[in-house]
Amino acid sequence: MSTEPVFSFDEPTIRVDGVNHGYMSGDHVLGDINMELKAGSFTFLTGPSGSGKTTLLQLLYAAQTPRNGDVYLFGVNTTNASRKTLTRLRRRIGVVYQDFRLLDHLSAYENAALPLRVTGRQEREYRDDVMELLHWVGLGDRIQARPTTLSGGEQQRVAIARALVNKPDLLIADEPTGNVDPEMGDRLVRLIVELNRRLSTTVLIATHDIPLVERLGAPVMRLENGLIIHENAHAERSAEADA
Amino acid sequence: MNEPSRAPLLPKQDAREAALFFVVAALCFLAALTALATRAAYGAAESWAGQVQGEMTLRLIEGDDEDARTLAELLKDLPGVESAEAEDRAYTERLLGPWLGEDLPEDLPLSRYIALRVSPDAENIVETLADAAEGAGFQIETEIHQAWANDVERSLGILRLIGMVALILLITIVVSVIAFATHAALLARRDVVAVLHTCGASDRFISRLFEYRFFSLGLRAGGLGALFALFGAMLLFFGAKQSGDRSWLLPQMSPDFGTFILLIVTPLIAAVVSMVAARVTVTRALGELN
Repeated sequence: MSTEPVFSFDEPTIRVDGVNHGYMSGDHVLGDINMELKAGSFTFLTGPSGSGKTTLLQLLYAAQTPRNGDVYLFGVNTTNASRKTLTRLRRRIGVVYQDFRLLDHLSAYENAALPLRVTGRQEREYRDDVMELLHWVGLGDRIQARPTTLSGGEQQRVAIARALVNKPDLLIADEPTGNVDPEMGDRLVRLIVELNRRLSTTVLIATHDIPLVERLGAPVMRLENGLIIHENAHAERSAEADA
Repeated sequence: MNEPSRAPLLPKQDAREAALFFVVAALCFLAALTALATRAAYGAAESWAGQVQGEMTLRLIEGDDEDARTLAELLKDLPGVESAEAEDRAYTERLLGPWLGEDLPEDLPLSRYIALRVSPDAENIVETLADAAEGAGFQIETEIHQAWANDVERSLGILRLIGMVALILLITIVVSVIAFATHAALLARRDVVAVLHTCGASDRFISRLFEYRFFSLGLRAGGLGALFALFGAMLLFFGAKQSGDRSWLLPQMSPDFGTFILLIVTPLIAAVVSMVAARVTVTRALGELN
């Protein structure tokens, strides 16, 4: 399986300059992060639990702004961007959360269609696409099911469908295969790889799934104690480090 | 194949919103009733003022029915006097009835009254009447209803002002309650708002969800409040009818066209006020949330 992107642009999709981040409690989570993801690249983010992966991802999908330093998304500095600009940026990003964050009062179909609905698109425009995507992730017969009636793996697939439904320019996924069986995990990753190849979507996946990282052979960034210790390392080195 | 549904993006109302519904309904009931009472007070003031405008009563201190008729005939021809009607002894007895009882002794001296209607433009009418009566050998006292009407109008003016202040206060309470409830709802659904934001929803889009929710709540609660206010107004109306002769003392709360307009407008105002309060609260709170 090749992860070579079809297109590559000079402007990085993500650029992080000297980011320090912590919480009000004084806990320091990230220290002096500098990184860059080229447009159309496919990268893994690894590291032990508590290393700051989720916080870094939150900065990258503009859910938070860093205490110090700058985060550039598609060339726009999110640190001082207006709320309208942040909204426009978020519309170009698909996010798969570790805890799925599906809305319990909506069906699987409605959850998957959320990014299209909130941008004011008419349902007749996207209905077939959403249905097809849900069939593709193996949920064609569960479109009306509420998240509370779905298994963890099914919820994860709905979350992935929601992240992919608007064909984002950037996909950020936090443990996207954590709750699915290996066969479904491979299928979901293949979908993400196809997205990367065909649409040149920049992909950043945070994972503990070392076999997956090894299989894809994509570049790896390793985070430890809030610091990137290997950038553009490859799967083998990451696996060694985790071992 | 299952057909996809389209549920509202905000979860359906919970118990807190049900409680809020009844609070807003109660406030709308009070607001509508206050508005109706204020309007009725205004109507009453106009009605009373209209009735006593240009009316005067003369008391003939000593004299019988014949003297009263003679004096009335005399006064009728004076400039500025539009009509003069002498009341007989029976009229005076009826007036005194509540204090002295019925069947008064024939030899008890009783004053006679003359009801006068004078032109509002007539100048020095009291002096003119007194001079004319004195010239004919009668001793009289004059009661000008206009002075009493002015007092009533002043009192009703204060009542109207109190009504307006009460109305403004009630609207302010509705705004505060809705703002508080919106803020609480926003915090309670913080997770939903965060997901919507991440999916690319603008602040305006999220604000509209809450606006619609509270517009609908204001409309329904306002409707219920207005309905109860209508029952209240009907009770007062029929209460006034039961009061017979003294019904003119009660505020004119008749179910006329204006009453229905006011009751229709109440839920609309409640809905718009709720919507605006929700919009301002959400717009401010979203900036603080992230």
